[in-house]
Amino acid sequence: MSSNMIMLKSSDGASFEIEEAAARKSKIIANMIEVECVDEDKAIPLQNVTGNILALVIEYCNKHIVDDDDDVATEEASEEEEEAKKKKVDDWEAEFMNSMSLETMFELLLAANYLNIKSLIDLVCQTIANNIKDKTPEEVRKIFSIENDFTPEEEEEIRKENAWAFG
Amino acid sequence: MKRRDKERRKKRAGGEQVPHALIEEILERLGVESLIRFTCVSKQWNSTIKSTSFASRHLIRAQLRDPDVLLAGARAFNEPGPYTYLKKLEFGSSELKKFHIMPQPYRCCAITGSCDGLVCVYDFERLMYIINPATRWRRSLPRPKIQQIRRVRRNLDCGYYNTQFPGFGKDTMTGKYKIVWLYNSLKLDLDGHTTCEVFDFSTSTWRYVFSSTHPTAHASPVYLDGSLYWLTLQINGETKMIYFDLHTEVFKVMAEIPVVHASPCRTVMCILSNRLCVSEKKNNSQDIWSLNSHMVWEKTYSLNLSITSQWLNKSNFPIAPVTVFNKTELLLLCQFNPCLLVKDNRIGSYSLYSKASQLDQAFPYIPSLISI
Repeated sequence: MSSNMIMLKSSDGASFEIEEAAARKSKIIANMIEVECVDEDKAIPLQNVTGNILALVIEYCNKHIVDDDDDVATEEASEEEEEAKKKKVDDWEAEFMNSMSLETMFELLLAANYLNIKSLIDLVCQTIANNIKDKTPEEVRKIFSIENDFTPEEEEEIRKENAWAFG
Repeated sequence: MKRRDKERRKKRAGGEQVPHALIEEILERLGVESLIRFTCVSKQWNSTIKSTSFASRHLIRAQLRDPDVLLAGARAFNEPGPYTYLKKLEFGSSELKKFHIMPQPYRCCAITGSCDGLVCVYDFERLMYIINPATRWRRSLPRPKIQQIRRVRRNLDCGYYNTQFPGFGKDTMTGKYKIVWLYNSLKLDLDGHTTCEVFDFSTSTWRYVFSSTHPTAHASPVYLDGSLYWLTLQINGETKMIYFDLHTEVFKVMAEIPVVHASPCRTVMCILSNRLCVSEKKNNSQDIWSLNSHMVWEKTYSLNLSITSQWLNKSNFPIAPVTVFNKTELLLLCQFNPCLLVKDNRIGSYSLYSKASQLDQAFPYIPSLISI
């Protein structure tokens, strides 16, 4: 495994050292490394990500480098081992997301989107979905800062049509 | 005032800057009931959730999870008596939830297997609906000829064994849904061996297609990947499997099946983990064979009937496998002493999941937003 380290710099000026293999989880950074626009002594500036969010992204990437490198090996591994490993990752992810506020989740989602880390987008979207599934439309509007653009009559009509879903 | 309001909102959540594409990613992961409720969040959410492209993406994601199960029961399929029930089962709860989405009177008594979260509910003489149990959407369909014939002949001898069931599926090349009712016309004194009617949703009409020469057994056809499958009656000691390609509308005979010498009333067909399966009841065991991607039948499960007999009366009829859930657990339906059993294949144990009277059919279905 390559242990090349690269530097990332957040929008608020914090610098983070990260293994290249972990940073490659981000398609954007992987791309930058491919086309060699990464200067070894210089940090990659990430204008859209603040330090506290970047720290979370790096924590996630570090946790997930190993399983990608093991892809070939896992084919040989028994089903049970694989299952146990998957459970370990799932448990870690649950713990990782559990400590987060909805607000942080949204910021993490935007960062994952900007850095193009597919598996992190999936994880955050799923967690937000689990979080809002039992909420009322009013609560959802608040969470997403959405203005209600229905007239009261229109909204009443929709609610009446599907009264069972509002029980 | 307004401006301050906006600022306050911005502070409360990052939501305002979340691009709609990401919001759709989140919505795709929600269940149908939540989505129906969220159609009144805003006009944009409403049009997203109601769009057909969103419904397809939502379905693809929902197919990755374990399905729910739709259960139907009636006193007897042939009786014109009242509709008894339609229920659903969500894994994680052993409660069978009853729901009525049919108009009065509740007369329908049978369901087809499900495709994309849709299911056809019908009786044998009058009614036929296509419904989406998750959204409660339904569409009434015109009567096929077979219902009209049966209605006229109600007083004539239409024994239990000449009941054939329609099947429902999708032409995977065009995405068009079709209902296919293949029946043995010889018992109805019509010429020819079988008759096949196909319902086309685009024209909302039934039409005849060139049929198979093999009379089919008394069982619902099963749908998988663009084709419907039936077992035939035993002729010259052989049971065959025929299938109908919903795109080309041609019947073919499966080259080989492991239950070729079994009596159709001891065999059962189903779909488990996206594979076509057949199963034959023997004295103390019931093996389940599945067709793998190389078109070879593999023995996939085996049921020990001396263990399951504690919940069942002695019967010649096979146990019907319904679906696999939690990767290793097999849900089983016993029709003649109605109950649902679970076999955990990891440890080989059996348990009673639920008991219900008059339980005739159980099919897995994916709760979806699809309508036709």
